[in-house]
Amino acid sequence: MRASVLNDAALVKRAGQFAWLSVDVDDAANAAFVAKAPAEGVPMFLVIDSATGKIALSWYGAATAAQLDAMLDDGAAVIAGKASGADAVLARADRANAEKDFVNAAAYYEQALNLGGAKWRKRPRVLESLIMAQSFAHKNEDCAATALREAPAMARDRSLVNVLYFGLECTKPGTPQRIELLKLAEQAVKTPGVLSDDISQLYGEIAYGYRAEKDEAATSRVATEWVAYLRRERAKAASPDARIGLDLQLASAASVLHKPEIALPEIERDERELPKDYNPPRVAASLLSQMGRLDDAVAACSRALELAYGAAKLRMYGVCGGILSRKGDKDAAKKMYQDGIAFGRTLPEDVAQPVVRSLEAALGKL
Amino acid sequence: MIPRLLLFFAAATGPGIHWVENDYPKALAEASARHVPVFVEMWAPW
Repeated sequence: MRASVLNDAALVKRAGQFAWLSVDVDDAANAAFVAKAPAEGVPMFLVIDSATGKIALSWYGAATAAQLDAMLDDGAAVIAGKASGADAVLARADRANAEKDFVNAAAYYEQALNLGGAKWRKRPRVLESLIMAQSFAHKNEDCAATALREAPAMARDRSLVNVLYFGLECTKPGTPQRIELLKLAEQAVKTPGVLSDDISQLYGEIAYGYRAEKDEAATSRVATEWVAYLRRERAKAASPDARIGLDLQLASAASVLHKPEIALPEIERDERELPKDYNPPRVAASLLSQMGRLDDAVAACSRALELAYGAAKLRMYGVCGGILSRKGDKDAAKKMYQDGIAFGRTLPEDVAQPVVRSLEAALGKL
Repeated sequence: MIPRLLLFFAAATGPGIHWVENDYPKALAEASARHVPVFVEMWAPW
């Protein structure tokens, strides 16, 4: 996004209106900030009131430049506290959402939608915020109901794609709601003008959704379309930086198809073009492991470990230990897990503890 | 939640926007001095 959206003219013209901070959540140096603002995932965007240090607005997931532009306005509105009507309720919702009070955030977002009405220009973004708040509050029935109620009437844009993504995440396999949302999502992935990250993640959700339904024919059909979509997008990508995000998703699609070998050439090219990035060897290790080339997978794992840092490096110890264990090299797997646990103890506890526990559990199973 | 996206973020500095890298106190101090909010992009290299 930095290469494209975050340098869009719509944001650049507002350069003086904000201080701009970039935070790598895997960098242990940011542990204090990540503890202050724990992210549901990445990317996450925040607007912080510099007078109080409080988070005024948070947004999880990719966004277009226009959405980020509007987000800056909404964050400033929360801080100013001068909004009225639906906008005032939206500001309360955004504040609650930023404070991780997702139950009240969802209630306020619903109020704001009712006040704003069907033609409120902020309605698509507020629907996205509502369904995310319902999901994060584990209100899965409400979340699914929102998607089923709203998606059929929504404009074919990024908001629809996101609403369907979360709606699918909230529904259980084997339910009529899941089947209905899968059908809507299969139409939505054809939406033009949406960020490839968003379309790709929806493809993934559909493919995994059909797999959970034990419908392998539909899983294969969707994953094949997903691969074709990523290859078309890749052909348009102008740089290695633009290609790698697509290739990492291609590896996921290939794994769904049980054809890891179809993504390996792209990942190997990425590793040559981006020799300081740990992601290509990380993903190569996974693909090679799936292909049964375990010695090559171990070698790729070692390369990834050399390049990774912080929480990402810690996770790599688990990946590499798993491959070594699968290879039958218990001593090397044991050492890998032990090295990982020792490395984890050098990281801030909030960052490391869950992964260290998983490494300890894996060690115990050897 | 499992991260949804597999994004890669490119080099740090863009035209027109000065990004403070991995230093919240510095960004907050800059924002306070100019009486503006802080916009934060949280990301991971995977």
